[in-house]
Amino acid sequence: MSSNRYLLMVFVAALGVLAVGSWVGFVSPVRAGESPVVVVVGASSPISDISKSALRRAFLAEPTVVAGVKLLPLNQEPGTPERSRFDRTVLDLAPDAMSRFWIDQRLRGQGNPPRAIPSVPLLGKLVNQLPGAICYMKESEVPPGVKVLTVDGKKAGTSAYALR
Amino acid sequence: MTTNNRFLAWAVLSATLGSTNLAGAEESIPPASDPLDVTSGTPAEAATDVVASPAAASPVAPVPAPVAKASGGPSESSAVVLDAEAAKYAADLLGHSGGNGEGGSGTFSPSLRFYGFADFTARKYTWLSEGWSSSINDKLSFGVSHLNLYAESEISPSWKSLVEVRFLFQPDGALLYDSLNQELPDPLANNGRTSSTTTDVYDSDRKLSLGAIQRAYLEYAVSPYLRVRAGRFLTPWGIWNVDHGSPVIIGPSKPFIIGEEFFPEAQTGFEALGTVPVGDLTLGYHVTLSNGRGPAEAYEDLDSNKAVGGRLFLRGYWLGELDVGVSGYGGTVTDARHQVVDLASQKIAWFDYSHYTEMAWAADVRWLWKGLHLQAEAALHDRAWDDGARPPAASGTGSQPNVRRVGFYTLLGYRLPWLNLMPYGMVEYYDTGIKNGLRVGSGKVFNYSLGLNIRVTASVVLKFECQGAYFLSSQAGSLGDSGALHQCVAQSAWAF
Repeated sequence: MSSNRYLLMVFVAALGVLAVGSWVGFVSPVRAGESPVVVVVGASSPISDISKSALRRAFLAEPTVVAGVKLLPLNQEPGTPERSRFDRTVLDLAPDAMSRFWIDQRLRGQGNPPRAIPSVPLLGKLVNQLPGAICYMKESEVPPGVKVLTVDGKKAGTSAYALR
Repeated sequence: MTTNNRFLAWAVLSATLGSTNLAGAEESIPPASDPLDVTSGTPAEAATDVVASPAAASPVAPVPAPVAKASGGPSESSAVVLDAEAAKYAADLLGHSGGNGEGGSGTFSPSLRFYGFADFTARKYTWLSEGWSSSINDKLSFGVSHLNLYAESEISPSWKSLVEVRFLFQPDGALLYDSLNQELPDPLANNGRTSSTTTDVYDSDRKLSLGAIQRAYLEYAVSPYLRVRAGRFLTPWGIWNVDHGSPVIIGPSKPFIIGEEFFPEAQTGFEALGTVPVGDLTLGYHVTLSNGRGPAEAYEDLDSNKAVGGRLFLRGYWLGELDVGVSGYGGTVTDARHQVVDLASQKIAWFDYSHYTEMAWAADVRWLWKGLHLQAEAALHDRAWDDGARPPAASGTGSQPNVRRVGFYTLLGYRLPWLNLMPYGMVEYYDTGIKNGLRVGSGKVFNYSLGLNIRVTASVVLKFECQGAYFLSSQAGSLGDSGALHQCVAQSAWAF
């Protein structure tokens, strides 16, 4: 009986930790020393800085114009760490909530998700070929010939950077 | 009771297993083409621009020097493959079938996607008073209440089409008299139950199957901030009416203000809509012009007054996502059943059977924060009859009065981190504006619902809900006076 009570207490405590962890974002999306995620556009793009709210609008499929350019958001594949981190920090949605969100949006008739591109080198090519294309990737994977944007005036790696 | 509940649980479990198998492979969103509106620049031109005008002030990674052509090594061949793949994606994303070649640039490849949703519901009235149990069917019933199929197409970069059709089993088999022995005005029925049998003159007079067209419109993107739709569209009011899909809405049943259509569910005409960023906020708008309501509003306007409506909403992300909106709608409703010839003028005219003017207003709020979901809507609807076209009252004496209906609902739920469980509760109030407007000796009802929404996968939802309706100010001895009406509902809903 007492061991049952002990097991019950452990179980309840584990549930409590899970609940609190999910509430406060217990699992940090960025581990120490990990390369930050940066926002990237084509080298010829007139955009050099973007606000987090404009990023959110663009990646939630709302028509978004920045510096006179209509944005064409390109996602990484679902399940990649960068996609999860971007969705969590910019859109405030966990991966499963993201899937629910897009299915709901489609049934409402309010849009489809940005196209997911299967590789980072391909993303690097596409942002230079497609007017308005914008994507995100690890800073350490940024290919040559593209432009890295500041977000809300902050550079990647600084403490106030939005995609931490 | 126990047996019924066990049976209910078994049935829902069976439905769940079936649905889960159906949707087993759809965790990720199917690939979709993007809402593109790229109207200038071919891929080749864009690539040229990259070289011609690099932005000097920005942190551009250096462009590698052109590599001299050499006999194909592994890195060169992988670069060629990457270029080819990029060209394919670029062409697809731009909506063009090719590059600069003859017939390539400007040739759009339209996309067509089919998807939809359906639900399976088990429901049973329970804990009934003697008065209620002898008046309504309290047997456990199964039903497929929604089977909605969507066809969406990007016709060109600026043109889009969406069609949504709801397939129905009803009204076939529905009682000519409803469960409360009130006559329903259905001219098609002649044997106690409604038959929708009709013949298709284009197909040897064979019986036509039923379907309700929810949406069928053509959309043109005038600018990033303005789109125009022509056709049939869901009335853009509040939250629930547009959410409408069984997997999207939290509970299995509509609130009164939605089900009783304070605003029409759908309209036929034009809709202008868009969103505009205002600082960190998003301001959204809808403006509609339509036939309004009427007995044949989907294809015929029986008066010369078009209905006008709109919605304005503000979306912010201060603490989660907060949406606040207001909606309005006004129009006239005419039921002109008889065509007559005016002998004096020899012109064909319509005899107005009934005619009224309506005006509806609503306010809504939705707050999503982590797992929290708070949603509320309140609405008011005024109906003012023209004295010359005021039909008889349902009671049989006098004529229809002008009516103001009011109502609201508030839904609060929390999505737990385990198994995507969301316990929720909803309270609502509905005042029909008529003493016996609910036909149970009362015109006002307070309803509560307690339930559990389980998003088994992104596309499959299970819902369990019990509701209780309390009829307010009921006449003594009436059904409404005999006690509350309770119902339990289980539903599996899925998107496909």
